Amino acid sequence: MKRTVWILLGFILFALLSVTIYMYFYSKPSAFLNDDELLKKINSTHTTAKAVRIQDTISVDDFHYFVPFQSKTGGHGTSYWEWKKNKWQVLMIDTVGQPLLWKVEGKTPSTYRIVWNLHPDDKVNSSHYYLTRERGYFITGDQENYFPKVEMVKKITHGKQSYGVVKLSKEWVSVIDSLIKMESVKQTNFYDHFTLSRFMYLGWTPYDRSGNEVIIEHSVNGNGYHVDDIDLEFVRYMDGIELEQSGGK
Amino acid sequence: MRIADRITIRKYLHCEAVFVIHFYSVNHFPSILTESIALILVSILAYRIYKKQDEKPKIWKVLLLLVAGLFSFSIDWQVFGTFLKIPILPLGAWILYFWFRNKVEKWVAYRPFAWLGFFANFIFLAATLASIPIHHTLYPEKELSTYISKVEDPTVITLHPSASNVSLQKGVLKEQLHKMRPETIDSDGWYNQIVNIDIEPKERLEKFPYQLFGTIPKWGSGLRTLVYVERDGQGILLISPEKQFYFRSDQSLLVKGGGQE
Repeated sequence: MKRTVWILLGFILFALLSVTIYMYFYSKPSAFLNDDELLKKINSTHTTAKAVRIQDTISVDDFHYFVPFQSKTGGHGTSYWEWKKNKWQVLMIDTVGQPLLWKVEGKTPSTYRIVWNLHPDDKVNSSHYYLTRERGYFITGDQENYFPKVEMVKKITHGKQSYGVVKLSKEWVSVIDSLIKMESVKQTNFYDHFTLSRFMYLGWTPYDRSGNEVIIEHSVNGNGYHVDDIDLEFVRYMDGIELEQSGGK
Repeated sequence: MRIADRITIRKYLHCEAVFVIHFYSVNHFPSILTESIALILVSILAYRIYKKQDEKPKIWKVLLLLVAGLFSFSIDWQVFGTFLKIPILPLGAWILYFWFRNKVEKWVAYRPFAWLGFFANFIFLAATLASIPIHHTLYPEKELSTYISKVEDPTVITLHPSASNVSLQKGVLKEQLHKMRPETIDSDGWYNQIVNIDIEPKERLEKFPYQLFGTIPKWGSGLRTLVYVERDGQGILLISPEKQFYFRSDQSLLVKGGGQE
């Protein structure tokens, strides 16, 4: 009799424990934090951020948010949030907001987002983003290999907002996805982390109101603080000279 | 000595446990076939040893001994784009020998299975070797239909600003699949035609400005290729992880204008 009770008790305990662990790791996110909570968390995590105003909270999906903010000195910063281990956690805080590619789920390009929060003094009116791969060739023995140039453009007009989050276009997703799938077939798996830069990179050229290229000064060289694992890829500033596009702007 | 030329030592020596059943992310019919046969062969050999024994060990112990015996120090060689594991040192058998060094009677019953485990490495090696000619018979390298056997919801994506929007003529591609001829890739020639001092960067015309999506390779080939289409619509450049192939047709596969056919 005593034994049965113990077994039953053990079973209940085990079930409770599993449910708790499950809830802890796979819980549905609660409502996102309010501005005060966000500011508090940002300033306590990254003291040089000196955030004073949350500009917006933009959800990427139910589990991820991009939060642009303004600092005491007028700087425009960025922060990345994820619902993790049963609470909202900040992954990364940066005091500037030059464009970056946020790979929310590493190998699923449809979850990739270009995010930015540009300083108004940089006077960026529109941006051209480029998905680029260099043309190349190599010859080994009797095998020849040629890699076509890729240069696909996405044009974005900035409104009054200094910040933004955009998805990649369907075409970009297809192209990137085909490369990821190709890589996963390879038998030599030295890396399990997919980096776009092995094959391709993102570039951008910012333009001002009259259509001239802008040199970004206020939105770069900030102070970033990584809290948790996040996959952010640098977006390279591209000079018009580097482009093969014939159409101009 | 052509074969010897082709054999390249791709990776340095390394040591790892060899798993009997490979979990293919892609369905490669020839290796699944030959490796299944190898597995059956090993089972038969194990059964024959087992039958002859007076002291019969438990079945699960036999299985464990076989798996432990598989563990070996091996070299990876790449032949015709296939990795061969050449077993050198029977690490698993040695470890088992050390483990049972004071249990002589047990070891006498166990030893054949441990060695069969190591020997199985060679059977699987033979299976991999046997799959190579099967692969080349079923999936001839010089036929486009190996790489593109079917087309489902084809889309052509323009990769370069020098090209306009086009769509695929599905009918023409279907008809051309068995007709297109393999041609040599002139990689540096193509490159230098595009990138040279006489042409401004803005005037560069990419030779393969389109990527074709929605193609399906021959069943069981496990092949995965990126399909690029030439500017004139008559050439296809296939890029696989190991190798590239180039095919030409007499007719353009593309038609001007976006959207589906």
